[in-house]
Amino acid sequence: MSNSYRRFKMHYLNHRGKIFIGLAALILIGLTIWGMGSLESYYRNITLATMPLQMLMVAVNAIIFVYLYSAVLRGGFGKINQKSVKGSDVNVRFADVVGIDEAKEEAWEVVQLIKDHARIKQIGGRILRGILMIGPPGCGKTYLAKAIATEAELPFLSMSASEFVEIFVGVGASRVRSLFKKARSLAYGFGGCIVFIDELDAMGRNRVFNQFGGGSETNSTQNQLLVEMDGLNSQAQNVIVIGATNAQEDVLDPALLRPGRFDRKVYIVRPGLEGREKLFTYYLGKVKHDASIDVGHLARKAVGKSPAEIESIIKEAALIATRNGKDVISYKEITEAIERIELGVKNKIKMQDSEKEMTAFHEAGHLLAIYFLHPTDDVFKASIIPRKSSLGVVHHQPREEYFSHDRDKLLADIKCAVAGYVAEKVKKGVTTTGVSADFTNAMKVAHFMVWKLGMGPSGYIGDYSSIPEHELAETIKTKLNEDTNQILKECMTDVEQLLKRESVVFERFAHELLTRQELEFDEIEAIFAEYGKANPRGFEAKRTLPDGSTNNS
Amino acid sequence: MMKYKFQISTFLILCTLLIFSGCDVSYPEEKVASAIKEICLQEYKIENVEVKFAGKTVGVFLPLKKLFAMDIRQELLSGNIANLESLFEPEPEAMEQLENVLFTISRVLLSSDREIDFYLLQATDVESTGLQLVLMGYVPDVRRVRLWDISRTEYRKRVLHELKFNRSVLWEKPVRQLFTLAAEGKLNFESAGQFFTKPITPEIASPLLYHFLAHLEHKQNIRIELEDIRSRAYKNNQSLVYIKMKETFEPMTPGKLDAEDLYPSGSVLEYMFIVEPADKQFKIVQVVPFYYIDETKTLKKVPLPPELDLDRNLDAWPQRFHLEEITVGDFLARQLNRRVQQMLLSDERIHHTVRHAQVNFTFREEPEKTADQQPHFSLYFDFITKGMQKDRTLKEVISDEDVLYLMDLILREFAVLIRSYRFEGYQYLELIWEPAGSTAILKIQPAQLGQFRERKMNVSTLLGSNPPLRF
Repeated sequence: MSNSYRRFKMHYLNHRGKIFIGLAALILIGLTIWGMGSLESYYRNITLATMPLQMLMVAVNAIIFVYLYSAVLRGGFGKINQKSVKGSDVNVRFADVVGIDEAKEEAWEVVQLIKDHARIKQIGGRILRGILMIGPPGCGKTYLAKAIATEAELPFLSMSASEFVEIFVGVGASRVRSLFKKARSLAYGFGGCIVFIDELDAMGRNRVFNQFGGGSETNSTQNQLLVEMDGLNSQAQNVIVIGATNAQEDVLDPALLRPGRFDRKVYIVRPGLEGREKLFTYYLGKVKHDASIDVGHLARKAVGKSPAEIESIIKEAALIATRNGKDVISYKEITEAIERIELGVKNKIKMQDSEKEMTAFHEAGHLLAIYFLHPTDDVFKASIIPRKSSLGVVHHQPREEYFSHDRDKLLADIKCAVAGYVAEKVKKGVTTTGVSADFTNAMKVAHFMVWKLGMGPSGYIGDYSSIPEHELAETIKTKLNEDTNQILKECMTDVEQLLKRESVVFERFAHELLTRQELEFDEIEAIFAEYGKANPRGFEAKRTLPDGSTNNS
Repeated sequence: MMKYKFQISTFLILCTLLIFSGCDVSYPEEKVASAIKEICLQEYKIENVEVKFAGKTVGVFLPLKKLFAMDIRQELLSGNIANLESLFEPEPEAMEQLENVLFTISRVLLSSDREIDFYLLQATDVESTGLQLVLMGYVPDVRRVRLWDISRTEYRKRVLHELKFNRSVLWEKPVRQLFTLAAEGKLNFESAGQFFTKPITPEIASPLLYHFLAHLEHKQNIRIELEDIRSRAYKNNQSLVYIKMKETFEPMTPGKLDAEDLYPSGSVLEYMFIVEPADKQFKIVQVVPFYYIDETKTLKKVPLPPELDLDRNLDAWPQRFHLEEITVGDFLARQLNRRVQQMLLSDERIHHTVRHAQVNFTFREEPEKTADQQPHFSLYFDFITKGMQKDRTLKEVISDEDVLYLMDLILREFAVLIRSYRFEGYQYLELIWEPAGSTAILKIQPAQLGQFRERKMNVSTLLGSNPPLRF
């Protein structure tokens, strides 16, 4: 069967209702014209005169009927309004996917498999059914799926898993059926179809069964998806399902992940240094920018940023440049953009002097703790200008990616988090509400160390959070909680000792913050250097040498 | 977007076709008469319908075999009549034909571009009694009732009907039947005798007609067209029937005039028949020819004395179907008369308080008929209430309460009807008190009638504000 015939048949099958209605309408109108011609002119004129009003009445009745019918009777809730997009119209080439080269390689393999499915069939192999993309948000999962569709030149149906879920049971399953029916129809016409389901975890989580043998609405939706992908009724059409999720693999139902359904798993992680450089180069290439911008520097500044965040930084920088009346983006705008995105927009609330002072000491405490005690992070900015919901902020980040963290690093995180509290207590003898977020972070890390990582002082080893709480002995729970508390206290003690030991520097920084409101990385390093405090991580700040040159950082 | 443009274009084209399909009239001016006849014949199997026009009035003649269910003469003679109304109960078949023809008239007139204001339907019993029911209606009323602008009850009130006696139909019957049967090939010399009071001889039937009847077998495909037929009363129960006919035929030997034929096919002949009642119907007593065959065997007209002036006199002879143009004013006057009659019969108070009520509306339009050359309505009235003396004065009449009540009803009926028809072709309404002849006159202007209709003026004020010119 030729492609044209298949496509014609596909369009006919998809639109046969409309075709019949159109033909019927034409015939009726033709009969009306013929009938009118045979009427005497008086009756003809009467009919024509009343026709507009009658048509209006009929149209109103039809609209009401159609609305009721589609919304209530025909399972209108089950209808999806998804329009398919041709692969060529998606127009995202592989060259446009930047910064996630490893994932791209795997995706390219997938494209080859899709294109060669005929050959695979000859050999007797099985066509790829599903690809699962796992990764944090904004890393390019959807983008990569589009690139696959473009390269494979197949129609692309995109939906979010949350669109399947409704309050009414059975609606989700109905929508899944509709989606796959449409996909099969397109696959018939075009030789294949790609269905992209974003946020797969919304319906793909482990199925829940209650004591009565039933389950939640998502169960039936998921069951339908399982059946459509590889069930009794699944037909040999080239429908490839690409799923994307931010959740961990173990969150999803095993039945989805088994071979025959989501055969391939593509892990998309945040880009490394090289990837970030490519991303900055790519996005800067889309805007007018200062040629002297060092993308390497930017890449090092943007550790842990996803491609979406990098894009957002460049866009924000463009807006800042426009606001400042500049024609091109410079390093300054990008820095400001990073700051705006990371830290938030400055609030114009007016603090009392006492509050400012307290905030300055609080942030100085954080600053010192990070500088002296953190193994990986540097302080890039300290500020007592209110942002978001905070009265001050100390922005710190590592210079490189780290994919695992040891005990020291975790303890350092706790110390840095509680440093604000300790600073307030040391300086003023009283603490404020500003420590609540810090405590939350510190508690989470400490709890994580003890309950999941076996890093508690009591020596309890294992992941105790995986055991249902009612199965854990009370003594163990008590002990683990005590360990958590102990870690916190020990960290606080260490910080207190630090602050007392470095009280001069502590006071200095507080004073500088009160005076200047904000301190940048170079200024911070310079102040530490004044007191002969070298960067424990071996980093030297940029400073002007006696001969007038600067040491490059 | 292209898809939607195509759909919209298709829809608009179809709508245009639809709209333009309604542009032509179905019955153009020149085809109205033929359309009425054709529809009556083809759809309702009603034959011999005649259609005439007089100005903006169309008349339709419907010959019926029987108009009323009962044989009126027999029933009257039997003495078994419970009420007179039962005598005039229409024959169901006649009613059906009447309704069909009325419907046909309305269909054609509404779908025609000819300007017709009135229709008149004359349904005549041409077989036995000569009684005819004449229905007269206003064409815009037909349109209004179909658009529900006026109710059917109101519409029925607006259609005038009269029962008349058409003697011409009875007089012409034997003559028409004679020639109709001849044209249908169902007549021969012997059977023609049934239409005559005495056996047919050249002296009775005239040589020309005698020859015609005697040589019917020598002709084939005879077609007789009665171009004109008129009649009038003569003397001693006899009547005269004038006929002008055109005879076309084919000789038995095609292409060759038979030696026996006295005149060629297509000849126009005239006859005068004297008819009289015999055996419950009219029969031919004598035939007076207008033509003769001279020595040279040429058809020649009989020279009649000029003082007879027959041509002009014949025009005055009535036809069985005569149509005069109806005007709106005249129609309204007749309608008012009917409405007022109905009102007088149905009103309880009038029934109990009025001994005699005479009301007659007329409309004067022609300048020569109006004293001041202004078109106007005239209301001739006379009332005698139960408390009134015979030698009452106009003042007494006008000031009587019951008369005022009556006048209020009549004048309101007049004002409402005129308003309903939006008729403005009159200058005033004159009231004429009959006993005083035409001397006592009250003139009411249209504006005053308008105020009276709107109840801004009562009848006393209306009549009082127009003092009679003479008491």
